[in-house]
Amino acid sequence: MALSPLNQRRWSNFKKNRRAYWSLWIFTVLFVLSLGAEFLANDKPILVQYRGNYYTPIFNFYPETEFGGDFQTEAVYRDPEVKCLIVSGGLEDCFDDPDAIIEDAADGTVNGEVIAKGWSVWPLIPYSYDTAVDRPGAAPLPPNAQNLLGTDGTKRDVLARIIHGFRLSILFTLIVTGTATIIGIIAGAVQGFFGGLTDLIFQRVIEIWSAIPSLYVIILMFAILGRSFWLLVVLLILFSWTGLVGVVRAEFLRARNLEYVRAARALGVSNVTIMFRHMLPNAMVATLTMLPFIITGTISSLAVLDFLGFGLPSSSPSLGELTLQAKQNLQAPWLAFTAFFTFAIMLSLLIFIFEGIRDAFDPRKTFS
Amino acid sequence: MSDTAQKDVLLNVENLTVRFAVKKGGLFGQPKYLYAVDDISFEIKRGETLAIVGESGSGKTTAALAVARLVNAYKGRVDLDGTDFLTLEDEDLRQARAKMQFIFQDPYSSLNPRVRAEKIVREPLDNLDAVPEAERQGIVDKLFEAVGLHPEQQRLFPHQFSGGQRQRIGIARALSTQPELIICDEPVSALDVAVQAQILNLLRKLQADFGLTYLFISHDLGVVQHMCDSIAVMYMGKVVEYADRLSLFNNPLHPYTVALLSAVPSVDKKRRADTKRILIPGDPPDPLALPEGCRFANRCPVAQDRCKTQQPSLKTVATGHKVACHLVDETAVSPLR
Repeated sequence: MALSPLNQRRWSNFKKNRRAYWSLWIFTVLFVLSLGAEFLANDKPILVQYRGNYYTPIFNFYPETEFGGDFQTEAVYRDPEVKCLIVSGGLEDCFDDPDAIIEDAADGTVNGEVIAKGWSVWPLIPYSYDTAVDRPGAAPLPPNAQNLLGTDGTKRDVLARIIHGFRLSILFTLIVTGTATIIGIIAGAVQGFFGGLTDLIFQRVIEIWSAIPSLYVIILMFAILGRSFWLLVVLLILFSWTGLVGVVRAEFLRARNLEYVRAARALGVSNVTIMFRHMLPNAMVATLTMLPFIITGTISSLAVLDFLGFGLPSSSPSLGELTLQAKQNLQAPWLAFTAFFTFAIMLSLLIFIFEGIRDAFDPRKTFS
Repeated sequence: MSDTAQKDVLLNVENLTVRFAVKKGGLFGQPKYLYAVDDISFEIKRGETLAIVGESGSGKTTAALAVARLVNAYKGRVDLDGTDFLTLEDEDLRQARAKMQFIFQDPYSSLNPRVRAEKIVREPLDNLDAVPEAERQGIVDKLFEAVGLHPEQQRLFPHQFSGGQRQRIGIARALSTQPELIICDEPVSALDVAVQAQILNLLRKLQADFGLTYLFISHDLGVVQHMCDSIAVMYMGKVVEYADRLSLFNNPLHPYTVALLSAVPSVDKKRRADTKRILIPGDPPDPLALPEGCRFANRCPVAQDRCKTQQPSLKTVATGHKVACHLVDETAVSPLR
């Protein structure tokens, strides 16, 4: 797709803002990495070779019996027995002394007999966000070579939770902001375009709507329907779409009397086309200026809800819940530091990026 | 005007009135109305050009916008080729708009800065579905040629054109629906003089080629003289004089028209010496508190008592010459003579 000259200029302006440009790169890398969180931090291997066959436990369900075990349930790949079964090709002896057999099998033979040697490729962090770490001591455990950022109050690896939590935060925010923005733009466009009575009534409805205390509604709905990711998404969308309406409405009220809009009307262009092809692109700059505040606001409100205990189900990897644990375990400062730096870095990167975007869209700003 | 008398009337505007609500005293207060266009009537024959002239705020642009239904008329009729344009709704209106097109005053704001030139011209075609998709590009090519633009300029954005070229795009866009009537709202007042002449000549050439009818809004009498068959002079929302070009320029009757014409600069020394410059002192009256009598009375050099109390009606004084002034009778002599 070829960029229009205007967009080319914007892109080069954006690139000239080094801070925003590098923030975009760092954020993109972090986000793409976190999209593959299952391959970075998981309690299942990425690939298993067992007796010449290949298995992909992340995508498929395999019972333990598949690897010569006893149970019909899913194989617990972190168990020494299962590890031993995979390495040794399913030797019965694994149930007695798995660690010795794993060691013995390294050269391809066990007790002098040739075995069908298997192997498995593990993610960098062999814990998922909800895996209880097998480490002696009272939780939360401090960082060491096994858990780079320590564990939280229920012995779950903090680094694994951060990776999954980062993805969850960003995806949640993208869904909520994306939908809320679209609804907000459509509502603002309708209001500004038609003006008059439509505008008056709509504006009063929005005033009433935004006066509803959203936190209470979220608590109530969770009490009635139970906590879930999608319910929270819907509720937050319901309460955040009004943010953009004012800006878009103002832009449309200004644009509706511009001559090219009149010209389009004289040509018999339909209202919807006028709104979205002629007016919206020219109202986009003001909309973009608002967007960073909405995005960071959504990330924060998810964290706040989790911190208060009204957010996502407690098993999900949430940064707000990590902050809550940090508050409850002041003797474990790695929790607080991790939570703080994750938020600080994530929000700063986003702010820098959007600052750059906003400046790049500002036609009056000149760049050297 | 004998040969044009047989031509049929394309646009017939009767008693057109446009008013705007200005102020409300509280929630239930009575709104005050500003009559921007007050009960005006005119007609244009097919293939001719009518000019509406007047100073800023006289309502000429509002009248044009109301004819095109870009602002709502309060009452009146706008008959375009036999159908009342003001009563059409939704889809009928959208289709009917093809017959009446608009050229805007400011070529810098009348083109969407984010749409390419070809798309601007093509949009009406895409919109009205009158032409099959395959033929549309051909029409765009022809229109670009007709208004004197190069085909390779189709891919450019409006800001890459000069003012005159932009106005040509505006004209091509207006032509794309194959309209019968084109309303030109001061199409050259935003351009410099050399470009004005090019655009005016282009408009005349297109009128001849496509058999167009123009409703031409202007405050520039030189332009009007060059372009038009008949002229309506507006003052404070009223038509004060309505005549064909020759009789208006040779024998202006209303004092306002006379003053207006005397203000036109001339390079001809003899004409300059002949024309007595008539000054009209003061300002137009407040449009929210219009005087009871003639709206021009407070500035008129020959105003009498009855001018201040009675509103003059537009009456025919000679063939094809109408004027709204108490002091002009059937002899059609200007009171200023």
